[in-house]
Amino acid sequence: MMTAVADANELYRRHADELTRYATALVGPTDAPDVVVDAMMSAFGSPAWAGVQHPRAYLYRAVLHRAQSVRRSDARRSAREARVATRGVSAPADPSIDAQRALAELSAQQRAVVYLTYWDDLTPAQVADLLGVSEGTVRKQLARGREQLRRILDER
Amino acid sequence: MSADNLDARLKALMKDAVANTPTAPALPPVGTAVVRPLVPRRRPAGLVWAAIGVAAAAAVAGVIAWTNRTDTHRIVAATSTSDQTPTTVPAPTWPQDLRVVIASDRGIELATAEGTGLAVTRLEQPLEGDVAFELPDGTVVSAADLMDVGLDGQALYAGTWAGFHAIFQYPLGGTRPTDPLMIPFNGEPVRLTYGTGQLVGEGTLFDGGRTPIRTTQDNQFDLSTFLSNGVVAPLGDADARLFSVSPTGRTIVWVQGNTLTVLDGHPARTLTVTDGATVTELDVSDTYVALTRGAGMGTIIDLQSGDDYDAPASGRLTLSMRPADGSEPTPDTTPTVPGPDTSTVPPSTINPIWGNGWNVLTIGDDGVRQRPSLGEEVVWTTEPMATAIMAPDGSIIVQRKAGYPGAETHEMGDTLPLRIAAPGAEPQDLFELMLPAADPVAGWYTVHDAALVNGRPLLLVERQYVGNGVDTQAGVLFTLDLDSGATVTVVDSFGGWEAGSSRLHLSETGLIIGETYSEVVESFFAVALDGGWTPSVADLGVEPSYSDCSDCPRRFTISHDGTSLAWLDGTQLHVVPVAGGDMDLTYELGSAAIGVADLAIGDGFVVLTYDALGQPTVPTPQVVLYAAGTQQPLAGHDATIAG
Repeated sequence: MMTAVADANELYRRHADELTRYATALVGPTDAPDVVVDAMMSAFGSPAWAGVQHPRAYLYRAVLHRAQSVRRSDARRSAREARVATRGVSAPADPSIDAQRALAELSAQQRAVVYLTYWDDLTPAQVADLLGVSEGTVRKQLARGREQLRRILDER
Repeated sequence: MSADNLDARLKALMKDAVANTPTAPALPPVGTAVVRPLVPRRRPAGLVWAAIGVAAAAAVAGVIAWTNRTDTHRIVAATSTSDQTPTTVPAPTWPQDLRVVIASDRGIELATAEGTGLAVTRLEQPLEGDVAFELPDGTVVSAADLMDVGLDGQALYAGTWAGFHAIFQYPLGGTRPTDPLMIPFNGEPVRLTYGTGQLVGEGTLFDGGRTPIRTTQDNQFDLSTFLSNGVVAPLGDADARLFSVSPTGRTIVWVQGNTLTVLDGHPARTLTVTDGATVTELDVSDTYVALTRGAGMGTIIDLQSGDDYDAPASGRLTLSMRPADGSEPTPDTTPTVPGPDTSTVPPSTINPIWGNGWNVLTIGDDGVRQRPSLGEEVVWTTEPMATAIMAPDGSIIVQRKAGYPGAETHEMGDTLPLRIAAPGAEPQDLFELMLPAADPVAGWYTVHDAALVNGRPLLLVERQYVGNGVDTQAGVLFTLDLDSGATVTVVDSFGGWEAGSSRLHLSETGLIIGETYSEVVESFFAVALDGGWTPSVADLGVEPSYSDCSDCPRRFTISHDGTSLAWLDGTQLHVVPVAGGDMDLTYELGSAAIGVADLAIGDGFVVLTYDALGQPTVPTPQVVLYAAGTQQPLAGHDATIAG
């Protein structure tokens, strides 16, 4: 029987890539590794970890929670920076930066729902299971996220 | 764009978004604590000698040498006889200004410098309780239930009150007052520390977890010290703990893992401690911090150099409050301070310094009453009112009815703001007082708030012209200067049919915060009276609006002094500084957050007012001391913060 520590290491090894990709969709490639590490350490160090029934879903939620707090900080920092930023910066050519900027307009939960829907091709019910929320919430967040992105894409 | 086309573009967008996914990071060894010190870990060169000191002290522990003092036992650490002299590191010298009191089942001992060594003097006076302190005059005191002593002679004692653990504050050796200072704990009291003008320690929250506690000099609860250093309640077992303040109030410390945070200036700094998990108590001066380690040997750390000194014996350590002037203490002449006399419980003469410093107006069918947490209730009027706001000059502005009546049956004239100059005085038509030359514009008025902004006492008022379900004219939000009568339009098209706002909060900085609604869509609302910067949804990390969602982020508000923003999200209360930063204090309010119509934030407390939500009567408002985890129901149907 594996120990809890071995269990955690093995679990992480199995899901590291997908969790990092998920974190990238949520916070971008720069912050993604930190978000993943912090989320894993928080999850594996939690007293609740021993009783987790669906570890993969738990780790997805841990990454989302960590991403939300990063986003709050970033949002405030960005707002402060925006207030003092010089106008006229040229638009980025990198499509991934463009995509990240579009996603940045969504809440972290909306990003998670949109990502899991359009990258992982999960149904709303599957997304709900993974994130531990109701299907109705997923549908609502997905609708809002889609609408927001439609507007952004239309403006381009 | 068709739905299919949108789906295809979103798939492509996702592909772009994760195109630069970095390599999955390696994890630190799982099962070990992750410590990210703010400064490089530093280990003083005296480590070897610290170990030798412990060994030497232990070697002499059973050898009591009588000194020329007949009433004390003196124990001299035998460092001079050690044959383990290192050749490369200098011997750590017990600092001349370091005096440590050790309380244990052996009694009270004083560890002081003597020559270049360390002397431990055991006092004859018995230990009462389990901790002892050396006062500025060299007096050593102990007492049952004594938690800490301040430079001003005030002391904190543990006790019980109505079956609850409680903390009492009264002069050292004095008589316990009737009322406790605070009841902040669900479990055993944690030792609180007393510094000049403040109290620092920790308590527990409603739903578990710990919170730091700090009062400020104006006797208000203030978490900003901890928030600005990333200490956010609720705290888990691995989070920061043992918050302590020096007697002068200038130094605050806490420990997390093997990191000691020292706040004696800006920014906070950290020192590394060994075996942080074994530390059970901190006692701090402005020069040293003493780490008690349960039954083990404690450590004293020099806060400037980082050098550490092992305590010569086990026990609870406290640092002397005696000035470092070299004068000899007189411990043998000092009687032990008696424990609290619980047989006599006169009314408290001590003004509690924490936990209940709120002051509200309650509005109900029995009129408007001012309810301070301390002192007498004041009846402003016994006439039923719909709203009441305290004006900057101490009068109150009331309304018999507010806004468009909807299903009710009141007239526009019923909504005119009234001023009550003093408790019991007759309500006077405010517009008649302020605008004698002009008839007030007919409309449905709602008084939102009042504040002194740039020296001007401003009342924030909304006027609507809705009639028979249609807008006859755009509503307006304006300020009325309560001195000059000048009105200034803030928003010239505000609210209307099936649109409007929650109560808006005006801060002394001129920011107006609240939320507006249009049918079922609610949106964050922020306006600066001077047209300047306002916080945005991006600052708060929330959405611009929410549709038909009863537990989404809502009831945005600003503190009267303009320093804090707060809102509800689900059952959680969020408090963030207006100035920005990464602090996001979150507290679980549980069912208290359901059906909240208005959220007002004071210093360490919030006032919650409720909607009827289909109930025959509106739930009574309540005050929640969110950091302390206590709440108190109020009377009436509405409440606002009074000053």
